[in-house]
Amino acid sequence: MKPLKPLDEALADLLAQAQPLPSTDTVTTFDADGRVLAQSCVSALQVPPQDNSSMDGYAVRRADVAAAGVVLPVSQRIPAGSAGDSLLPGTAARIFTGAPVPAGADAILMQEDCEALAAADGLGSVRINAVPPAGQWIRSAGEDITRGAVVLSAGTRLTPAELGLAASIGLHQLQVARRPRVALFSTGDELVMPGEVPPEQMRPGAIYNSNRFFLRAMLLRLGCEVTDFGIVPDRRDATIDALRQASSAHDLILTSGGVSVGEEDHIKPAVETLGTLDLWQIAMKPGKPFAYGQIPREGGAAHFMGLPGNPVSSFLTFALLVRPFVLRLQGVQDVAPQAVAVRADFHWPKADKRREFLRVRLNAAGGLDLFSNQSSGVLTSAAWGDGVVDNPAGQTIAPGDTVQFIAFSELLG
Amino acid sequence: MKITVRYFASIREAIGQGSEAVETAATTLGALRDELIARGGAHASSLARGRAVRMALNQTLSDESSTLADGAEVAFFPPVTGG
Repeated sequence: MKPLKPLDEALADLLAQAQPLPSTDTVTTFDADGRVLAQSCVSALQVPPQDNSSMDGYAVRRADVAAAGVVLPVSQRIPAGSAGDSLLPGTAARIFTGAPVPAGADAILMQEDCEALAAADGLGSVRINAVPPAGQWIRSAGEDITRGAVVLSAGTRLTPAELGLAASIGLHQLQVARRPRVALFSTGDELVMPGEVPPEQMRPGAIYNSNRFFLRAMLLRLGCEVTDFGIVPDRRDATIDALRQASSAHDLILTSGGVSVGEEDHIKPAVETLGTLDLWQIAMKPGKPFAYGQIPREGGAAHFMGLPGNPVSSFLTFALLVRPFVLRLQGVQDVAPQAVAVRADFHWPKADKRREFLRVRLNAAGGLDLFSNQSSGVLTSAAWGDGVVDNPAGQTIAPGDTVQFIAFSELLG
Repeated sequence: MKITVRYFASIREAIGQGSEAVETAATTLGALRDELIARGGAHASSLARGRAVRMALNQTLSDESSTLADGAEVAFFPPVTGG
């Protein structure tokens, strides 16, 4: 039997095959959430566009405020959205938050530090009760974004904050990577679609197809277009035909089940008939069986990936291998999930020779609780948990130990 | 001319067959799609213009303007767009 392949090596091998998709889409900034930028966003303006006040108060020339208690006539009033005139020496300008600082002024006094003195006509005058340091309460032009700055770089996966940032430099549309097209197949005679047979009428050995649901949902969250081909046909020639057609119209063909050693299935020979297939045994738990192959087509090849059929294995293998691959197809460089050091509040007395991913939940005390049944094939542990502990091979865990925690937000989003 | 039309995934389920031989006067993929829609029933609903349907001509992803030839094989796929 071949030695198990380390997970990091499997991921590196996969990413080496993930050439970013050549074509791009132009979408409105409104519709760009979750997409990956294909072109960096460079600011054609500076933000803020000019020096402006960050307080309601008075703009002054510091040379006119040698000491607290000086009284200056108010020569103009500058609300936000208007442009003031140059500040006359020896006067103050009434100014409001966000309004441009008039030429000549070099400090703002907040109104709490001033005393407005009424006058019968005009704008009256103001007593300045503090000596301002240079630049006080002035937001400088370009303080947030300088002209020519790369505000968002190519390869960034856009989130709501980034849409706002792009809009703030005037971009109403963005060039993003094309959505990866993924064909999803399920294998297994025992699988029954929910809705087809009520639970009380399930024949012995039959199980509901759950993988199809979470795999589709995870692919959609990653920005993919998904074609769900359902259960693989039960004849080899029909399977070959379906795979050949799928490869013409999709970047990635993803199957769930049918890739374990010795498993009775015709998906392996079908892929081998059309292209190449490598069966990997990955040193991870849950998980282990995985298949990667390519099916040639006009102008290149479609990728093929086979996930294990066990739902928990399928879920984690997708999160740790397929997700980074799909992101890289869209041009994302940093595809590794971020792990953080957290305290274990549980015992894990038996080490495994494979790297383990234990389903855990953050507790109110800032530690991690372990789901009671780590061996279950169903997804109760993943639904209960907030993430996984990435536990190295051969490692036991005692309460108080620091472990590497990967949140599901890093694995599923 | 005579061509083969293949249906995949949910389109196949809706139409109730995986493939059929079609005698057509259509010269492009788009015109063929219109002919199939004009049959009504499951063809009309699954291939309707408002739906994003992906097409392959002789196992190459193609668009509506692609030219049909005698003996061609056309496949229809239903993408589920993410977002």
